Amino acid sequence: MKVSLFITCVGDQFGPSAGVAAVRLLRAAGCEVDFPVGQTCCGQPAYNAGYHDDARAVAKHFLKTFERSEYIVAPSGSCGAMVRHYAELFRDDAPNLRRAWAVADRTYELTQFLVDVLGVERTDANLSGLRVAYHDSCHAMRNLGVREQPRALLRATGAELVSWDQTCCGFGGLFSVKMPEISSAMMNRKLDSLCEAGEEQPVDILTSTDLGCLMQLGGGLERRALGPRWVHVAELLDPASDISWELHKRNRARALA
Amino acid sequence: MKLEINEFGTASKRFLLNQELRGATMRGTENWNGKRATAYGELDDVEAMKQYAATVKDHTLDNLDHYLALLTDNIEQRGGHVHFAQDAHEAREAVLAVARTAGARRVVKSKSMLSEEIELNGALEQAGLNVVETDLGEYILQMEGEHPSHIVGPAMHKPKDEVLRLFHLLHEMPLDASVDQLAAKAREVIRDEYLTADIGISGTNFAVAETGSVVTVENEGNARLTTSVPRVHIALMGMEKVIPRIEDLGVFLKLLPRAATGQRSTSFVSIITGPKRAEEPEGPEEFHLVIVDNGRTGVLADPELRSTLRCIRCGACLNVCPVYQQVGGHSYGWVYSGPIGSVLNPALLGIEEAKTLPFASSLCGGCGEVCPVKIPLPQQLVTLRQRAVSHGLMAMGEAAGMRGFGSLMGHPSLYRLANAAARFTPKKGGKLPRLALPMLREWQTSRNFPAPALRSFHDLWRTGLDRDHPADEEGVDQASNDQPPGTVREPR
Ligand code: SF4
Repeated sequence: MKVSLFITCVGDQFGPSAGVAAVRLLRAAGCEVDFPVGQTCCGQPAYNAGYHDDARAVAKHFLKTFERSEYIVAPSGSCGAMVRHYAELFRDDAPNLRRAWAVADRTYELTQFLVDVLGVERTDANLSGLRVAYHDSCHAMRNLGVREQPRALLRATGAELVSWDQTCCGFGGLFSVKMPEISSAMMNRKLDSLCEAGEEQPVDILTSTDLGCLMQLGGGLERRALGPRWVHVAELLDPASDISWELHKRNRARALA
Repeated sequence: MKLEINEFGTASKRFLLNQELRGATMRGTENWNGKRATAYGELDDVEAMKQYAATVKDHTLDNLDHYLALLTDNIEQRGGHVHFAQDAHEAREAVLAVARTAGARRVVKSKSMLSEEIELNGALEQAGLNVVETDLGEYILQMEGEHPSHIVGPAMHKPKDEVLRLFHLLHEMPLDASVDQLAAKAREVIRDEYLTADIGISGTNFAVAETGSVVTVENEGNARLTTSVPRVHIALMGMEKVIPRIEDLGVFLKLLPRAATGQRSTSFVSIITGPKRAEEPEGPEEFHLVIVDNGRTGVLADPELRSTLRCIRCGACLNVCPVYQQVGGHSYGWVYSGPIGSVLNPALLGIEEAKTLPFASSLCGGCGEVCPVKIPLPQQLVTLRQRAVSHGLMAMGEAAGMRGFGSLMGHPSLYRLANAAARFTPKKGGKLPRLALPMLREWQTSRNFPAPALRSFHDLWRTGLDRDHPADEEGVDQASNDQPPGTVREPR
């Protein structure tokens, strides 16, 4: 099966290791991975901020880049969901609307694609004994229906999923810099809950399908100089990623001790 | 209520600093969130029910003139009076005219957000009338000189301590009284007011066109007394509150209390059809319905926002909204707050008056998910943002930045250039500089911002990752990497 990876602009610049992990996960599941090199961004920042002409320009470029792809997979629910909003952008433009629908139908978030399309039940990562806080990206969860897929894959690694606050992380793209006080208050609510979840037994890792959420929550964790490390779910699931390897070593040391 | 919508930034910051108000709002909303989830969960097919309710509302809105005429006919046939008010001023005048004719001096009121919208209390008091709010929350706010902060729980933001202090001052209640004791005291005080009031003013949850009835849904019984004890009853309703038939009421009576407070049913549902009839021993002699437009016709004519008129004011979108939970209702600067306020206020007042509100959201989508009448609130927030942009209401720098973003992301060659520029370091092996964008200052007030990765994914792909079995993943990750290539399964 041929899969085109859409790395997303945030992933490209700030989380390439998540993209590398995604490539390995897709290859391990038997996919031929292709990376259309003309790709840039999905246009979400402009769309959500109300600059729809600018968003349309980016969306057209996206359609051109990915039109011939059999499947489009992104390590991000939010950017995947944005592709579904293209229909809204092109509602008065029938030819582009048809292209937008066709592309949206073939666009998936990574764990969603692995579980729902490829039927993957587990990856080779071994995270047994690890306490993982999984954060639902709002757009992945509400717009794409990604809820159980990453959880199932994480559980299959032997990780224990801790229960904690399930609300929005407060990122919201430009919202985080337009209304930084509110955005931070939302973030702190989550971080407080994360601390609480780790009171008895520390939480080892914070993870999510979306780098935007993770930059927000992770950036807050770093500022507080506290708590678990944060990493994209693809890296956690990929046994060859740095973090997975490191955790694996730690587990082994624990077992030997 | 004074318009202070575009003060959202300052008002919300002030609220964020007040731990007591924040705590009360968070506890109140979370309590209802939990109960709503349970109550929704009990329904067999809540999505189908929401869809049905939305369909009933849409059908009514599509034929609003017909149903309002039918409602009017049926009320008049029962001896009631109907007044149409185009704006807040006409609505106030309609109420005042009834009061004058009736020679009224004293008014009791049950909860009505519309009365806040048309600023009725002030007008009544100015005309020399004595007004008493009978809903416990509204009563507390009236005594404090405050406005509601939530459409269902008006005193949502009030910490219990403050209420205790108020009752101590007003009614000499002990400072450790229980909620039940406070409610009992309020009931005792307010009960006398019903008996001496000339007019009872109520809100309207639904109006049934085919029977000419108005319906109120409540828990304290104060609306029932307000609408039945005084000799004149005035019901206020927004023109979108009408539904066609009495059997359409069922689905709303199931959804509204569940969405609002997680109750299967409220304690009281009153269906009021006209004034007291000849054969009835008691009840108001006069019944008036004031139907208010106040901008609603404009919303009706707006295809993208029209569905906000489905709203049954359950408050679920406020409770679930992580922004509302942090900033409380008053920050929104007008009657309606939370997601529905962020859409309805600009829809009713115009985007210029309320341009900040659509941006007061992370677009998490919680509101759209819980709304019992399926109003696509997140989509409408984006629509309104787009209108703010096209009306030129945004800062110039932002618009220029977005144009830059559009051309950068629309042209891969420019993107490649920027990719290289972000990684430019003056000396070889130097640390990557943190991006110095102005907006990152705002970000860095509470969060660290990562430096761009040493090599972008584009770079990695070009240098080996594109091959299905690269020799190894060298260069993929950081330099100090003791990780062997390949897959590790079991501990060795
Ligand atoms: S918009 Fe929906 S959820 Fe919000 S108050 Fe209205 S009916 Fe309730």
